[in-house]
Amino acid sequence: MIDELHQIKDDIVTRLDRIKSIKSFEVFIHHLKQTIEEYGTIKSVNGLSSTGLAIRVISSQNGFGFFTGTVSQASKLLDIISEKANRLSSIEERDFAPLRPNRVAIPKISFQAFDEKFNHEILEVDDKFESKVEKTEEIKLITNSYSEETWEIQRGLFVSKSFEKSKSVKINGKFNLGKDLRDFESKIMTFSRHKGFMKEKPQTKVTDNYDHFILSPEIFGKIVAKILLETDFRMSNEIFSERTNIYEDPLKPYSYTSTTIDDEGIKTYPMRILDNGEVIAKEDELREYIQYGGNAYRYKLNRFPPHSFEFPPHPHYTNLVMDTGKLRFEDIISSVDNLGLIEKGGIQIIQRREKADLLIRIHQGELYENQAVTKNISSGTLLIDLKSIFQDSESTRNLQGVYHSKYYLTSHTGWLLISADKVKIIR
Amino acid sequence: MSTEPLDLYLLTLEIEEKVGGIVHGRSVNIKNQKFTMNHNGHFEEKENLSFGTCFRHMTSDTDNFLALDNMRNPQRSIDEFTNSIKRRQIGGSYDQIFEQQHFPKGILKFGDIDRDSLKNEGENLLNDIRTHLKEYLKDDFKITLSLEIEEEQKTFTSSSGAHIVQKFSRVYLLVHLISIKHWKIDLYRMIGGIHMSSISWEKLLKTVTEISAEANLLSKAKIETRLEGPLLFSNDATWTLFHETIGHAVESENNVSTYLENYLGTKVAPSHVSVIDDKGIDSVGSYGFDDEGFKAAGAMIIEEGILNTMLYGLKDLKRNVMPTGNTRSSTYKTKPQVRQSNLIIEPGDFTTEELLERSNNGYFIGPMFFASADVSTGHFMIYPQYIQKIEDGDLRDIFLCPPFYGNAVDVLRNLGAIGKDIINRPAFCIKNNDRIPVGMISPKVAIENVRLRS
Repeated sequence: MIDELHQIKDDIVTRLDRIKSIKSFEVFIHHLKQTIEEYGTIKSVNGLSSTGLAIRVISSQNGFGFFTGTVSQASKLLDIISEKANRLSSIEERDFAPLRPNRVAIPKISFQAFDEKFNHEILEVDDKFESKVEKTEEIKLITNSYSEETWEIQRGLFVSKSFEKSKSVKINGKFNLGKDLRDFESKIMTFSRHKGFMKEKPQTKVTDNYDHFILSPEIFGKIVAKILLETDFRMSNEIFSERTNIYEDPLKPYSYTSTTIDDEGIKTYPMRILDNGEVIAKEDELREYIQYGGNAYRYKLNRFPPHSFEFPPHPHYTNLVMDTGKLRFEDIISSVDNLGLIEKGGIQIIQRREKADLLIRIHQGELYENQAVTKNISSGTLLIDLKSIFQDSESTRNLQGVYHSKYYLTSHTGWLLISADKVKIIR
Repeated sequence: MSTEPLDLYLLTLEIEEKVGGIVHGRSVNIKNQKFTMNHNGHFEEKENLSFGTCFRHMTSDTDNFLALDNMRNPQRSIDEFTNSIKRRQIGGSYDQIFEQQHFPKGILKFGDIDRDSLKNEGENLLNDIRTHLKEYLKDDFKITLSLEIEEEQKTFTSSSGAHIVQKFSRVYLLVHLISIKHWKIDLYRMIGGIHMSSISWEKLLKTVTEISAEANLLSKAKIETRLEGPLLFSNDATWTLFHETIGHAVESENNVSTYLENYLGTKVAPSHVSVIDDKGIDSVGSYGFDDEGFKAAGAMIIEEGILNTMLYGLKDLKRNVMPTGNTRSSTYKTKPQVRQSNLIIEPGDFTTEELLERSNNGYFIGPMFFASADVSTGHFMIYPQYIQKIEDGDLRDIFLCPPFYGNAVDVLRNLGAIGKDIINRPAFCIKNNDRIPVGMISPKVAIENVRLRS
């Protein structure tokens, strides 16, 4: 199958070379193989094998065109390109030629071995699940998913390939056990204990009686990603404090979104986004940057799936890393008497003309009284001035990576401690 | 493998032979062309040709799925798929009740969009709309326009003998305005349908005039975070509210039990409210057969306030209810789910003036950015593009606003007068990462004495 792809790609390049009105072009081939197996009341096997083709074209008049399709449609797609090459009217100011010297070439990999390994890894974690679903009351469904991606980028002599693998095991569709399944048993135990604990402790709404609130890295990371991707940076400039530093680091270890090669086949490297509260680079102003650098990804916000061959590559973040604070999570727990710990929740940013507010709808949290958990916080809404998040609060020293599927990035932030007088509780 | 349905049928039989059960085979061929004109007047064309096949294997207690777009050599993927099923020992037999008995022949056609003429005139059309918008708009706005033409051919076969081919053509035109002075001022409107008349010049002009009038008003808007008193929902907002709170709550394949599930046969809304899911009218959500091979029957969801039926799929046959033909998926890549088609809220007798009078001292809710609902509780979130104060039977001050939250039970109880003017527009519905076109057919609705929180 993959050998066929090489043949198709060569044919496409030869045909595009013959079209005189085309000055520059890029051919991308994306091959995705995925298997998801479900264990539980629903038993299923879901397989996907998809090969997509994307062709970017710049005509001799600098007209720009973007054509995509499944691989079986390659010949029709080329007919369309040759018909339209003369009358492309969008203007692309850059050429693809300067990208070539920066391309990363990886030696060819045997695709047969690739497929065999795929099947082997799926088998590896098989039998444990069925018995777990039967024995553990809290577990209704275990999802085991495994996928491998290949990106092929080709123009003339410049070839590059990148491989991405992802593997995840989820319980009841939410609780993710991560990539490493060596301590699968102990993780299941933790999950069951946590669920049992949730049942035992009384449920409560959030109240005024707390001294401090602490937001989990999941919520704090979501706030940072939302500000950078969904709001205007003119607003953000006034929100961040002088101490705020945010980096984009595609090389961060143990992160799902880390990659050494971007979707244009260029080597990636870290960059600063916020330097002491000052905005250095806004996502959609990075065109010049990616012309010679890396960090261009096929991603689109509010589209599902957000990462696909059907979108042209454009600048995007992979890992957002915040500067660390000075506190330690354990010290906070032991030093504060009444602490509301907010683990999970939905967030909303309400933008007014002068300021912006943050609304957190709590889905899950815990109440710490005298260093011990006494109740589960199951509902309630908090309203916080967005400035307080960055200016009047402090984060912990240890960073925790949280993957946000909506934004296709991972945020690396600490826990955020905020005084209760900065927080308004909405009833 | 060629594109002939016969091959698809042979492959479904092959899978059935290896692992038992019943097998559905589908092929989906989509040609999608999108013209975009950005705020600098640059015109961009994108073309996507997508063609793939999928197989769904079902036994009494399993539901397996394989999607592939390698048309040359599907055998390897199919072998891997059947081996996985054998390894997990989830093959087997299927209840006879699931086998459809009557199958139609021939090709069904929905829509008559002239793709070639639109392809050639796309740039001129968008240019004309842009010129008109520039004329009307006082403030500085970034204008983005896009025209999308979609042609789709779906083939459905099943190992029990079905063979259905359907062709669709649809067109969407999107006008999007963002203020340069205030990023929150963001307006968009989508029109389109399955006939050329759905983007006629008269309709385009009407849309351009409406949206630019709203944009000019919004330049002076303040922000309002409270929403109390009588509310008048615009056509767009009414449909979105019903789609999210009632439409999704009656889809049988939700993973949680919905707040409407136990109210079948009882009164859930006032007697003048009727809601229909109709696959047969001229709108983007129309089709003849669903992705499980069932005839697309219309469903009277709420009849004079009484919850009459849910939307059912193949699996519901086990509960002795007949599928309503609502199971759909957007591409070959996703498993079909029970979805809405064209949701119609039956119009009432009131003119817009009468509705405004009845909603005095309340708010008019403009078209939506987006909305969502928790079907287990009926809690919903709506995010209007703007709201407008109603005073002395007229629309006055306009406000920008945050999202508002409320509960469907309160809203249904307080449903007041229903307008007689309806709109028929396209919309998109996203459920479990699958985006499908649905028809928006709705009047304006007044809701009395309700309070939504921001």
